[in-house]
Amino acid sequence: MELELPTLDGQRFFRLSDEQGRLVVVNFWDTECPPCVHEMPLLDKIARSHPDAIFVGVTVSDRNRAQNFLEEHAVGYLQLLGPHDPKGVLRRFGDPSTALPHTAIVRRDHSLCATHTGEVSLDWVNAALSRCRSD
Amino acid sequence: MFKQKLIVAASAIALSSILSAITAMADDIQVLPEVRVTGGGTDFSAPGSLRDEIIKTESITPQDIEHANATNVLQALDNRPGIAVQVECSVCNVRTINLNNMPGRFATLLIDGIPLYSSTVSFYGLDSTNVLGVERIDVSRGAATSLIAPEALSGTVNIITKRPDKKEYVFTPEIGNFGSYGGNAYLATPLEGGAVAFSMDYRKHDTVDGVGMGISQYTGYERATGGLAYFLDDIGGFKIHGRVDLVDEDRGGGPLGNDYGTIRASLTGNPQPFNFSAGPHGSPDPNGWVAPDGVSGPDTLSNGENGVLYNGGLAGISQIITTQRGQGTMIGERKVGEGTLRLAAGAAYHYQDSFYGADGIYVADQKQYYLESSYKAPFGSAIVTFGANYRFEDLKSHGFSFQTNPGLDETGRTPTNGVDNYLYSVPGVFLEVYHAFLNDRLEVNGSVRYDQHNVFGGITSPRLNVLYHHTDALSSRFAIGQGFRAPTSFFEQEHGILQDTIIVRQITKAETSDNISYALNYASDRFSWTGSANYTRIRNFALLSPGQCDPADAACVAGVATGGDVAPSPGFGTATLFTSASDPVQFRTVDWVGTYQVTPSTALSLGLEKDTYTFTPGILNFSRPNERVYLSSDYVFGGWDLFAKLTWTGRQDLKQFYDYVDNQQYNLDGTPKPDESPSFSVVDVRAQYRLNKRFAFFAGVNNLFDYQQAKHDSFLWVDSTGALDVTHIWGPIIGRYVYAGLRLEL
Repeated sequence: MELELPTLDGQRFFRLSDEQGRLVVVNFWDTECPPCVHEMPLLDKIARSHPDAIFVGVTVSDRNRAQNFLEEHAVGYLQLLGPHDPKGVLRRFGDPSTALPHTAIVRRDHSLCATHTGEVSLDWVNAALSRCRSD
Repeated sequence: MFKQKLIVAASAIALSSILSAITAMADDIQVLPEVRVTGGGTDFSAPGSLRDEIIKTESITPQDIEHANATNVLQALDNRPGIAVQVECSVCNVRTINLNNMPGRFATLLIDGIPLYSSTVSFYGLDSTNVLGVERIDVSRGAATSLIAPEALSGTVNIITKRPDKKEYVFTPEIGNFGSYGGNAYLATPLEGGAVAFSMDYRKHDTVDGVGMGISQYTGYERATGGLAYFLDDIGGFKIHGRVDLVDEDRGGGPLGNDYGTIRASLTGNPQPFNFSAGPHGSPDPNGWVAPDGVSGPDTLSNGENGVLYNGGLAGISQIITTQRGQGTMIGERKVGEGTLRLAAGAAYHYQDSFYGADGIYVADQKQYYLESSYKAPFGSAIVTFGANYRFEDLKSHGFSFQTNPGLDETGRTPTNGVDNYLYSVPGVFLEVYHAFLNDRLEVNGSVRYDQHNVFGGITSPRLNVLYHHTDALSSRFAIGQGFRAPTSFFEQEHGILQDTIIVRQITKAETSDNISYALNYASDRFSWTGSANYTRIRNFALLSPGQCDPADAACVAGVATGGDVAPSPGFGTATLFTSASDPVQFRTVDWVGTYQVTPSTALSLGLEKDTYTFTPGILNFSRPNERVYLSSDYVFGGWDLFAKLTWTGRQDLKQFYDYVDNQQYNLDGTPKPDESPSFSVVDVRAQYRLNKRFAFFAGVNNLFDYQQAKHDSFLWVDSTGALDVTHIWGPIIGRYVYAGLRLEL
């Protein structure tokens, strides 16, 4: 599985293939999606407690709107700008309904391990990370 | 007029105060749904993207609207593959939405899915349909794209109102050349159990003459619009939303300036003066033009040629239109059993007061009502929707023709009341079944609706849509369907009606369409594109033929039969015949459009469009291109958003579209108009810098290289006898437009 998207600050492309050997948690979100916004502090907290995993947010908002939002709701993990037509990547990451928020965990070998559509809980993320780590 | 504008302004101030008060009580109260369905794209999309729906739907996002510096739906839609805005009059700037290059009357505009746009508003009301506070504009091309709007034979344009999810107080003043200035305000807040948003826009723009004729090519206007959108989460178990909109606009073209009283009172001479020698192929005499047949003109021009010396005053070539409109919608949904019950209603009132200098006065009142009830629920493994809707439309007009009452001033003319009146009452029922197969890779949607039209009888409209996901990134959409449209006699479709005293309705069938379309969509991380093909055949294409004999007028008919002098001259008959074309009209469009993320901060888009037509020459009224190419780039970095767009339009077959064989068009010097228009390009650029979260500055130039049709080929034309018209249109009506403004968010 591959993911190649620009970082929200426009400085570089993030490529999943550059992160060999690490668990990756991908969270798709939108500034106008209340449950997406609600779960962000929790994801930020979980990201800091799992330094062996890379957390990335993928926004389907436009760049300015997302940057404005993050000025007020700062999170510590990397933020990417979603594709112009996000349904392809959402389907690829296990979200055929293209509903948000959607969170996917990718194993170290870059195969899809766990997905959740809707707001995540601490228990789900911890359990899924444990399972994906041991696979 | 001014009083009403004051009312709108006062309402804005009052409402903003109310909003502030309510907001203070309702800080940070939000209901959190479990998920948000993106539909494949929210406020971020690009050419080549499709919504994740079974019907091919392209979204125009707030970012697209910003890039186009659009304040109304026409500016937001123009110059996209398969979507164009057609100008139908150089001095009044009637503009319609052409989907797949089909005439504007076949596109249906919906407000949050409610069809409240019909004949009158489709001509002068679209400029006043503002796009403030919209979540997106969905465009679906092809017949039968809407279950509740079968008359959308070319497709639908659905303006989706944004539900406020935070407090927003946004003000955007703007200034430009051509005496243009204006601004808008958007005030929105979530509330406990709902949300509310108020929007207001005011614009003023001068009439513009790019070639020194003293006759405008771009119509000046003063326009005020206001809207209130509301969202109520629980009213008797219903989740309700809707909006109320008001429009007040004056526009005038022909003579320069906006002293409409003076223009209307100036009935003789050449007082501005208009200079008919200016521009390409101008007349040898600045006070008139050549009669190309060499004998029909009543005057002798200064160079000795036979022609027409202009003597109509400022009024003779002016068009002054006042538009007032109010409309409201309400949509309620609640869970009932396993499914969702939907109730919807809408109402609109439209008033148009028009002064058509040389032709006459036309005043119209139109009322429209819409009611809908439907239920959507799972049925086995399918999802079934069934329901009924009712549409009511009543147009009443009055006025008088100047040409059938020559020599009198306004007060002395004979009225021609109600020539194009109509009343349509249309109850309908519909059924739709959706089913997914092959682990959701294949989706099929079939629907049928039956309408009982009070004039055209019972009509059945079926459609079938199929979506197949070849892979996660690649999908196909196929659609086949039929639709119908009850033709209207609204005079704007043929100004010649103003010169007649009766419309003879020989039309017995509604316009019907057969449509088939296919689209292939690819959506990956950096590259998305869509290729599509669309074919539409319109049968019973409605025709309005002015200047004809009333079949009941024996003397006139006898004159035609014998070829004698009793027959009226074209444009001076007593009757307009309302008929259907015997041959179908066919439209074929193939387009491809894609966007590639070239660098982390730069995206490039390319669009290609090829159109072909089968039609009886002259039947489509206005010229259309066979090819268009679109190229745009968007650079977003460090607070900057730099956008540039090039639109290339290929040659247009003016000879066929304007039917030169039966009605050759001539320049004012008596030479024939060209058979083909030249190809041309228009470049628009825009820069925006976001200083911080609250302030952003923007500036842009539309039509950067100042391409204007009038500098190559005048909009004015004469027939062989020297009769003047203003509808030879194929290119940009206004030159370089430079603007700047700021966005202030409190």
